[in-house]
Amino acid sequence: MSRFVRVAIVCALVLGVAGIALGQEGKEEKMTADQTQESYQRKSITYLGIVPATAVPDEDVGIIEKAIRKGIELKRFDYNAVNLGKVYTIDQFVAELREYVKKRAVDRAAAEAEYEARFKSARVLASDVDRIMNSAYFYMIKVVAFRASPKICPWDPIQAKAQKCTPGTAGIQAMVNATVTFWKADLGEGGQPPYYTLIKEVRHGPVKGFSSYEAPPKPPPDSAPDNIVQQFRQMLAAYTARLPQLQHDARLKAVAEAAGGLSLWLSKGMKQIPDFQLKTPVQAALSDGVEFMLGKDEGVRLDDTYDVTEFDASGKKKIIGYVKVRNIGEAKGTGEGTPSYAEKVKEKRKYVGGEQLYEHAMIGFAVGIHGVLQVALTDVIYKLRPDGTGEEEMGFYPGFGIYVDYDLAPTLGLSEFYFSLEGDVLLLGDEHNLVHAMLGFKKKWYITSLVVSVIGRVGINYYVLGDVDTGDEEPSLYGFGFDAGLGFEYYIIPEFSVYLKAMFRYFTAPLEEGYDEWYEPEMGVNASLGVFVAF
Amino acid sequence: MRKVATLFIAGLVISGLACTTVIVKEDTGPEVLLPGEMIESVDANTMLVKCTGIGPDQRIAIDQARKGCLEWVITNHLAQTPGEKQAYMAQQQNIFAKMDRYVNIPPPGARSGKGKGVKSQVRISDEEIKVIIITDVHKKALQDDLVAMGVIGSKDDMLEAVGMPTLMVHPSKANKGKKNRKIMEDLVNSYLTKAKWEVLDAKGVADLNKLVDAIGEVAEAEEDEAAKLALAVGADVYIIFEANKEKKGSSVAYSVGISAYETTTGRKLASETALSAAYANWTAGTESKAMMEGLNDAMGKVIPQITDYWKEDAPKGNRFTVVLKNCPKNTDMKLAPVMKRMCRFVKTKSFPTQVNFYAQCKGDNLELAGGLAEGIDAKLSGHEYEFVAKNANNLIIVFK
Repeated sequence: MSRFVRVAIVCALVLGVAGIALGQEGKEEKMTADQTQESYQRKSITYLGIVPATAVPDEDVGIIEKAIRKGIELKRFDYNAVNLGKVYTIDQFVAELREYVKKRAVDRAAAEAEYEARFKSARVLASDVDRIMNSAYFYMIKVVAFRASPKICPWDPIQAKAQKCTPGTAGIQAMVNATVTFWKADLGEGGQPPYYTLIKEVRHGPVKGFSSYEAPPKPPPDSAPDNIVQQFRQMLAAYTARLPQLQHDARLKAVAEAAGGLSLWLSKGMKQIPDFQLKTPVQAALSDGVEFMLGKDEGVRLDDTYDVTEFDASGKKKIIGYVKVRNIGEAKGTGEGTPSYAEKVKEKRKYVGGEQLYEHAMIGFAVGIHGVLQVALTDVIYKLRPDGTGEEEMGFYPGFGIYVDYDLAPTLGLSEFYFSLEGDVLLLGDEHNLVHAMLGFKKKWYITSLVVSVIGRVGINYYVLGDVDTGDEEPSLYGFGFDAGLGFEYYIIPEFSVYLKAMFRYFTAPLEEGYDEWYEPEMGVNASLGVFVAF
Repeated sequence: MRKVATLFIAGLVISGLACTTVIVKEDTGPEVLLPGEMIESVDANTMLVKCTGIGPDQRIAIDQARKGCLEWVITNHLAQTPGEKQAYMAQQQNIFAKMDRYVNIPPPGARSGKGKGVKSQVRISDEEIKVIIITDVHKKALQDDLVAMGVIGSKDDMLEAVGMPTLMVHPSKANKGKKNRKIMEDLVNSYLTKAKWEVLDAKGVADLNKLVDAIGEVAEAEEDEAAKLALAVGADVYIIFEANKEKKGSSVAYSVGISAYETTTGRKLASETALSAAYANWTAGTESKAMMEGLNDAMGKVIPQITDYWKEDAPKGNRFTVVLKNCPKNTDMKLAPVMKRMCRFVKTKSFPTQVNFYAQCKGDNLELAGGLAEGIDAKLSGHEYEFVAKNANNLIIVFK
């Protein structure tokens, strides 16, 4: 047989076998959904420990670790805690796992017996190893900045409200910044060391927290009798003895608050990593929303936002709308179970079913700024006006305001129910201003992109006067009151909307005795027009 | 006045009717659908098929895809002749009206993205999307209904006339010593039994070894032992299976090869290999799942080929192997004319002391034995002999 014929036969055999092999392997690809019908698959994530890059007391490290892990170790993962620091480096641990996987393919019982002792010292159980092998993601926390120092809470009521402290109180302000780094290990055959690849280092800026502690006792007036002075000295001595503990406790609370805030941002950053992002096809398109097969097991929450996307024939993805979760089902990974339901909040093209949903990670709070025009039935300071005639007249006050809403849906189980904090400044004219600080609740209803809300709040108002002779004492010109009204928003994208509010407002005249006769109760309506940014 | 009013109202009604738009639905002929693709045979009655559909929304596109699956199975597996295909086209809408009986709606897919469900969806224009689905087609139910509608001929009627072939299952030489051999054999037997095939078991045959020895060498049979056993038990077709575990890292898959041979001639009727999906080997039960998946797939492809062969060959007569051991000289030349008078397609293999005849005869084994006995008495008188076996497809005569 000629050489050419022999080569031709060998080539034909090789191609034939390869063809069969390719054809056989093609069945698996044929049966796998493509990116247009992708679903989130449960991941196993192993915590490797926390590394303070800067000097941080152990106690505070523990608090930061706990807060950040709470934001990272979500229901969508299986997670394992491995005490690597005392046993392995990451390289050693991954190498051990790879060897275990290889030996287990040959003889499972023998491999498990051999590695039980080794993995036990790193607190890895046999059931953990199965989960680790499933997807083999690791993460580590690094504290990059930390500071805790005494501070006085700002007197400005808006700033004080933002820092959640009583104006003028002493306390500890903590500043924490940390990053979370994710890797994926390669436990298969072949490959080059190191057998793990960096997925992403999730970062955010520093976050502050504040916690006040008990104020020192007030000194008695100079004219106080000796026994009162003696009592004061004793109280001061006792306070001084307690002060280190008070500051310590306040520091821990401030660190917990800062770390908790940071954790929200890091969690959001983690959810944006494609490997960890929830995604699923639309199971059914309804007239007012969609159903999909993710649910409690993945930690889907009320009011979570999802992008609704579709793909064209070339594979290009396009967002055609947004939905927000209103009902959480118990969908299983096998396709069984009850679906979850999400309401349409934006629809650029009619949903036809089968679109791909991608989680749009949001923290659940929004900041809005607006211009406001208030019409008061009676000018509140008409008696103080330089040209005041003593006659009552209506007041027209322009101003501006800022508000923060926080979505309580995941906590209370009531969708689109917000805790609202607002501060505004009304310009009364003649260099007088009226400041309001309010807190309350807001409930929203969506008619696709048009949002109607009902708002109710209570708060304080405070007069900031221009050149007015108030005598020797500086008065506290605070009053109390409430406002209620309707809001209308237009939902543009999850992060941005415009709104219009119409509110009825009533606040008392300043409560300080002797000043009430100079001021009128504030009663009127106002309209606000503004924009808000959601996070 | 009254008359005027009546006339006016009548005029309104008539003009209303005249203006009414009458929609005449034009008969556009049979629907044109996109072709499907076989994924695997789930069991004897069900196939997993991948199909494409186009529509303005997902529900309509999925229904179009299901119709495509249905049509593909009918035109590629059931309606074989041009006449049957034409008959299907004429009844297409009636069949589609009962589509839910034959084609499942694809279920919500598993998170892994594998298996049944919607596999892909893209927008191809402002009005239309294209979906690709994988779903079950209930082939048996469809076949029964098509027979009832007169679209295709009944396989059962034909097979009732000629009889179903009997089968025997045997592991390949490479698989004989493997520890999963028994499991695999049981799976194959179970598959065939559920599909109502008659499976003969070599263990049930008395004096099997004696029979096998008497058969001697079965020329041209790739798997000689299996061929001899099949002849000894009287199976029309014997099936050789080979199952190999494919290991890759921490996953396991099975490659299953099934070959079918006609017993008397050793002619290969079908040969298919199927590879199961890879499953995580640390989860219990996945190895047998992989084995069964590969087996179902391969058997699903082989069985139709056996049936097609039998439909064509059985009406021509029964196939026999006639073995004459320790026969006198020139037995082949003396008995060949005797065989040709009773049978067609007679093929002779001569050995020093043995002659094998392979023939297809209209009569059964006893008629053939009777004719042979007369022939031997006439042409080889004086030689003593006995019939060691008069099985359904083989006769063994040993001369003393």
